[in-house]
Amino acid sequence: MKKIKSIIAYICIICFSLVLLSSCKDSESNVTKENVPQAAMGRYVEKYIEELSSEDGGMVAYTAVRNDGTIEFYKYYSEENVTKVYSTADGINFERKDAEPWYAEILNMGNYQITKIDYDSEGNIYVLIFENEAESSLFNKIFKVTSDNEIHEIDMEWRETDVEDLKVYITDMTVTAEDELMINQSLRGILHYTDEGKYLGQYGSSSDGIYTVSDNYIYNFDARQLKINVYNIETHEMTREIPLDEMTGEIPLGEMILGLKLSPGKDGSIYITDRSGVYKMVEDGVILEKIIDGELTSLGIPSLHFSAILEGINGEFYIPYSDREQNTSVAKYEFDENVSTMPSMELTVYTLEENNTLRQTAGELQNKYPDFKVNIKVGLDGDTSVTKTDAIKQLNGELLGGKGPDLILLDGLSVESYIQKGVLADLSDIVNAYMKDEKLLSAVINTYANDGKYPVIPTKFHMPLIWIDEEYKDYMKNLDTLIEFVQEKKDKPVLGYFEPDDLITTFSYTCFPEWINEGKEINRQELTKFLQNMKILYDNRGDLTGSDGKAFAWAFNKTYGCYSLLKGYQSYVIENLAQDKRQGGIPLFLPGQVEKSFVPVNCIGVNNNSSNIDISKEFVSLMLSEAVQKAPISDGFPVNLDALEYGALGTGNENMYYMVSGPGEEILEGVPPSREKLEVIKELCHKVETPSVPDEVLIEIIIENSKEYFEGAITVEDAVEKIKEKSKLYLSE
Amino acid sequence: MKMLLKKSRKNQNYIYRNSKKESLTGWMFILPSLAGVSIFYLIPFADVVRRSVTEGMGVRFVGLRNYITVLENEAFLLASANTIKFMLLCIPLLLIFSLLFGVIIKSLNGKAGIYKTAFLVPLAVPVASIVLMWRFLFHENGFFSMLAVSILGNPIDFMNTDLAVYVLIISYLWKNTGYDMILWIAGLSGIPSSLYEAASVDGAGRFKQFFYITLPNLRGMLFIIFILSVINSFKVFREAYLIGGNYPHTSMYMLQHLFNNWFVALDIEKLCAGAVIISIATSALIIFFRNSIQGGK
Repeated sequence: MKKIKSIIAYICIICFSLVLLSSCKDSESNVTKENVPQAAMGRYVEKYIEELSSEDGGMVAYTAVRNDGTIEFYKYYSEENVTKVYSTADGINFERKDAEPWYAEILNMGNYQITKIDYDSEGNIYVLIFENEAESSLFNKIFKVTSDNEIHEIDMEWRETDVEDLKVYITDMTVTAEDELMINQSLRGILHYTDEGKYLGQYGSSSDGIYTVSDNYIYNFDARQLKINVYNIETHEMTREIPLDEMTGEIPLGEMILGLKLSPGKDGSIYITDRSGVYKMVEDGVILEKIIDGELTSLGIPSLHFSAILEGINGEFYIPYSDREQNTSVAKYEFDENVSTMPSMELTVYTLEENNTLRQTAGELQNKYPDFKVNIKVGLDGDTSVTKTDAIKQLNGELLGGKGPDLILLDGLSVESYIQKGVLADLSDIVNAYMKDEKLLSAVINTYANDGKYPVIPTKFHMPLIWIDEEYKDYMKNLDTLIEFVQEKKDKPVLGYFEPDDLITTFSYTCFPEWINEGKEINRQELTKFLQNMKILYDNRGDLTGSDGKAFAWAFNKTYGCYSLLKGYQSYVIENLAQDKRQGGIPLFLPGQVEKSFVPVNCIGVNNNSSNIDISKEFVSLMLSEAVQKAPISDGFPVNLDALEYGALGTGNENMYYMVSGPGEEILEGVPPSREKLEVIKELCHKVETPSVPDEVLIEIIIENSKEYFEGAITVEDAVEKIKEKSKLYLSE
Repeated sequence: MKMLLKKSRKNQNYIYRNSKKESLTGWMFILPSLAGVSIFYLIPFADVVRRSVTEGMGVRFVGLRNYITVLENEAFLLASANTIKFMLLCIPLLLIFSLLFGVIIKSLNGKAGIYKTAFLVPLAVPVASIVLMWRFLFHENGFFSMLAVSILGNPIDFMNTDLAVYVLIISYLWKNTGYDMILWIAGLSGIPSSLYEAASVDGAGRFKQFFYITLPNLRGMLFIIFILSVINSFKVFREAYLIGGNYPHTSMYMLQHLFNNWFVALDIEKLCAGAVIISIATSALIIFFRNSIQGGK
């Protein structure tokens, strides 16, 4: 029996050892050059075409593809008021020539702008034009230019809409393989016409607008149901649906899907392009093949907009980009089999929520260092089962295991804790390099500075502001004077309608720093005063309800002022329109228990254990650079002073016109803020002093435990006592 | 005489060699399991002990400073008090109820199946469903609150008062009674019926049989059930967390809440020091209990 036991024991040991050994890696001596696995090679490499950049003052207005595959780029030079055409048949050589005579002839026929040019199989040209100041809001015409340069307007059987100001407005036009016209009409959808203008039918619903034609099929993107409908052009019938969320491609859903473009490929294939990349689907296919990775190219840069994707004769691609200032450039994507499919080195950036500044910076860094791939890891990536706590715990687990990301965007994280634990590297060398030339807003940059060290750098900030008539500005010095104003003015509310939680959250930006003592206890006196003042504000709401928007209420004189947490120049819209409506009013710091507060955001830190410290610091440096800071991303005011100056110029917004509808039939409309108004905002940016980062947990405790006080059920002392009791646990941890 | 001595020495050597071999065989049998336990528990725990005496991310040695910080921490003291209070209330009640039900069901013999199933159903109910049920019953607008309104005139938000811990206790007892009951039944089944017969013959009634035969024979099982109950008492954190979040009412604030929050805030050194303290306390408790049981034998 004992022998049997021994034998069994030995067998167990042998089996266990075999299992352990089988999971071991190969030792170095077993690896030879022949059997080292090779990295996958080959990818599309981005290269900008010099001739098509805006550096010479020209702007690529539109593109066209001839029936022989030649691609044409029409470049407009505003100073000389001429258009040149750059064409390429082989993707290598670009021929520059003047636009053909028909071009100028059409423009001279009226107050026209050319919107789209396309060719049919016989070389005839179809030109879609937009007529400025068109009568009876029939904004478009289509001209046909024959091969012997005869121009005639096609008598289109337009399908007018019921909207008086928008009867016919065409945003796109395509010539099919059968030499028929497919147009995208606003509020009508995708309409099919013969080349003589006879109406043949409609595809999809009236709200559809993204489409492409490839061979005998039209592919129409249904944005509401997130699928592509495929129609046979000859029979007008839908042949199949391709739901995007079931495809094996990686098209992200949500915001990014709005920038989606469809374009035709060879042999009936189509290309689907959005910020995540270019995907190919063959005719009758169901699988999307990602051929260009958006994260490695300019597709992933939020400040750049792409208008089309064109396939060249040799399988290369061209994507025209434009930025806010209408500077255009064209990138060519060519397959290079000598380049690894993925860059060999990776920089990981962690953020709790999606962040466009990170994407912008990633694009800039990758352009500079093509060997690096920036992998932006989003903790809360839309999967509803992952809570914020789960995401933070996962990050902390990685940090403890020494495998954390190279960079961390600390918005929503416990910044002080990460600093205290020594997780973050010192970035003073980067800050000092900028501060030497006084390039950064020091009040914001110094938020987390300690003894000359900068473990965390806020790269943007928000400002809580109030808009009010100038005669009342003396009442906006602090919370006490604001309350004094409220108590004097009984004829109408001062700030509009707030729910108690909204009120507390709003004013926490200007009061929170006063609530916590140095000993990490609630300051009973300040909190009591705060709640009493909030109650006065809450009782001041008058007859207004939640549907009375704050800026709207102020614009239509229902209140004395309105409030906003301004998140950058681009977000200064409704308050500006309200100022125009009232023909008065100035922005001031929202009064509170501290002065001139600001909210630091986009706070970046470098992991001390990162194996790419230098490139990580380079990333941070790029985040602070003028190029990234002035990109039109509405996530905050820049800390880079040059970018702050630039933003106050309002460049790129000149042609914008806003129309915002409010409660009832109220509408606010107008142009973007003037330079003078932006200068006022800029001056406020320079004056910020007190960083305010309200603790979410404490704010929630205060909101939860003050509800009864706002309802009048308990006194303010009872409410503060409850808050102190509840928060004691949190603060004592 | 000399020959006898020689023989016995030989026997002793033989016995020594044999026991060494047996010991080695035993080690080989448990080695795979020991390796797994070491990799997933012992080695990580050793790292926990290391981090409990270092600062930040485990770099600088600080001695016992973290332990002092933890023992002076108000939140830790509150959480410990709540956890001890919870265990002192729950475990005796659980042991008594489960034993009682076990004895009753054991006596039912053939008809016991349906009752066993009924007691085991709570174990199969997912925690999220239990939480939904508790919310329905104990919320400010829940069933019992409405009952309170009709009787007392005012609603009661059980989860935001000192009554919250009793909700947890009820949840714990409801969920674990069946499991412990099955273990008791297993222990009861191991007691020879001849002892009861002999006792009956000697005139012992049911109560005397219970106290002088059943209970002493269940000592071993009592120890196992006690350990399991202590372990399960920590699992009640799931319900508490789903009901009250990271910061529930103070009466429900347990050690796991604190450790969870410390992990989120990256207070690793405090977390590790606290974990070591709890390990020592729990080990001492188990050793004490075991000695008490064995001492009684």
